Amino acid sequence: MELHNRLKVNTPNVVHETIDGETILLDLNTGNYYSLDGTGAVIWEFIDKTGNYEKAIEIMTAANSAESDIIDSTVKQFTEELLTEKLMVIAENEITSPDVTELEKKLKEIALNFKAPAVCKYTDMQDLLLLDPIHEVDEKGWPESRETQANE
Amino acid sequence: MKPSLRSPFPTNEQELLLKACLLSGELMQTSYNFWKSLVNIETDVEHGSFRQLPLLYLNLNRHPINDELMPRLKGMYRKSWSNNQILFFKMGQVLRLLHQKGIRTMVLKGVALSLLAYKNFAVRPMADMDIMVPVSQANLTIDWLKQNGWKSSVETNDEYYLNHSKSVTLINDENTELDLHWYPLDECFGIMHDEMFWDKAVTMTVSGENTLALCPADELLLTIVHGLMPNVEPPIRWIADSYILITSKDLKIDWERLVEYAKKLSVIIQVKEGLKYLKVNFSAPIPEDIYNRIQLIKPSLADRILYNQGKRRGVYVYHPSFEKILSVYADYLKNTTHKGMVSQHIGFLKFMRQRTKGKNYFRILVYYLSVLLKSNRKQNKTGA
Repeated sequence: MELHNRLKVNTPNVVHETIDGETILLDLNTGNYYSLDGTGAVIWEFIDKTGNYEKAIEIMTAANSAESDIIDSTVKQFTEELLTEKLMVIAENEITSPDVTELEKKLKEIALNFKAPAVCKYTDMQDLLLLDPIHEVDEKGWPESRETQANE
Repeated sequence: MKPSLRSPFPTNEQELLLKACLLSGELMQTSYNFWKSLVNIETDVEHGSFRQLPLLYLNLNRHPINDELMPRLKGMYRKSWSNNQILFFKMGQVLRLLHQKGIRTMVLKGVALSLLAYKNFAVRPMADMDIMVPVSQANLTIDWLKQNGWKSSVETNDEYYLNHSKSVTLINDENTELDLHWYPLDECFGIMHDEMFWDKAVTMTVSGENTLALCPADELLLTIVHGLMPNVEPPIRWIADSYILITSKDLKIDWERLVEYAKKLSVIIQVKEGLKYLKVNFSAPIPEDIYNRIQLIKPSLADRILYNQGKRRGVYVYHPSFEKILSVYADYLKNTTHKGMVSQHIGFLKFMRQRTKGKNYFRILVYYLSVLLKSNRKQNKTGA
């Protein structure tokens, strides 16, 4: 998939919220639920605000030049996945960039202790919503069921 | 078996949980620790408290507090967020459908509170959606929804139903539940006109569709009155909803309007008790003059009968029983404009005739006297 430097969240089909370092997403058309970990959540927020994944790579590789190759390839792969899953789409109009100083700081921090960003996808929302969030989940909490953990 | 009704006021454990959800600093921390020492999350959390857990997570995370319950609480937050997002999306579709037909809409309760007061999609778990339309468009709305795949289990297209019910529950093929209101409260029967509640409504957008919500004062009134109706489920969330409405920096409560509507709808006792609880137990910032003024208002005898009857029966009345007669009588008192003992009781017979769709007075009297006798005999037997 061709990457583009003008991306935006695929609203209104995709809704998202970042809480405590994790971004949770829901595609209301497909019912798929997604979770992005610390690195993924920061990159997601940065692209959401600026539309520019390359800028994110630039900031991160400048902060950690020793791992620039791995940062470059994994962030590109991550962005491709966001597009493949239709969580992000190419924006028709220019995105006016707000102040992202705080996010830039966060990108530098995650670059220094870089862990590849990952997209966790959960496909059966109907079953997930039936899952008891107290008794049927593992120590990470909903939507991780005890059963899934036992099968792994 | 008849389910037991719960008080609208919380138990000690529930109050501690609410304080952990709503307050900050040491009070929050102490309440949370005490709640945890009394409650086992695996076994002791009843439904009313369960629904507060996403809000608890948010408040703990803001402070931030880290303990072994946090991952599971966060899971509850994620689940509630997902569930509510789906509901908001579906509500957007229903609103679009109604707007296509030129029907005015207003969203009530959970969705309105989430967007206006909590400003969060997760902390107010919801099971259904509440939409209100003007009384004059209620029939049109029900017909339009039925044409578009929504079903109701009750016959709604008669005048009696529209005048003596506040809403109807409709369900579609996806099992989505919609509470369609034309009155926000039972207490509006016979009083409400098309502009009441609509005149100060505020705009909001649900899933891309523009609609309205009650103004903060009306929302608070609805929250308190609805919350103080005992239920088989502990309805403690009225406390969180009210507290968030009162303390929100972005919302301005028109307290004069709250007093005016409380008087107009004969719900002064509920408002008095609700505000008193919030002030005494949560130090809710209610203007002193308003609070004192409300506490001094004397409710009428009819208001007291209605409130006490409501406390006894909640929303569940089983037929036939003496309790049922009392509840019907209380319903009548909500509607009547008759003054004086004789006039009121003749009015009651007329009301019953309308309710039973034209059965003659004699049959109605005989029926209810027989219920009274049976109920009396049963009580004597139980007593013996």
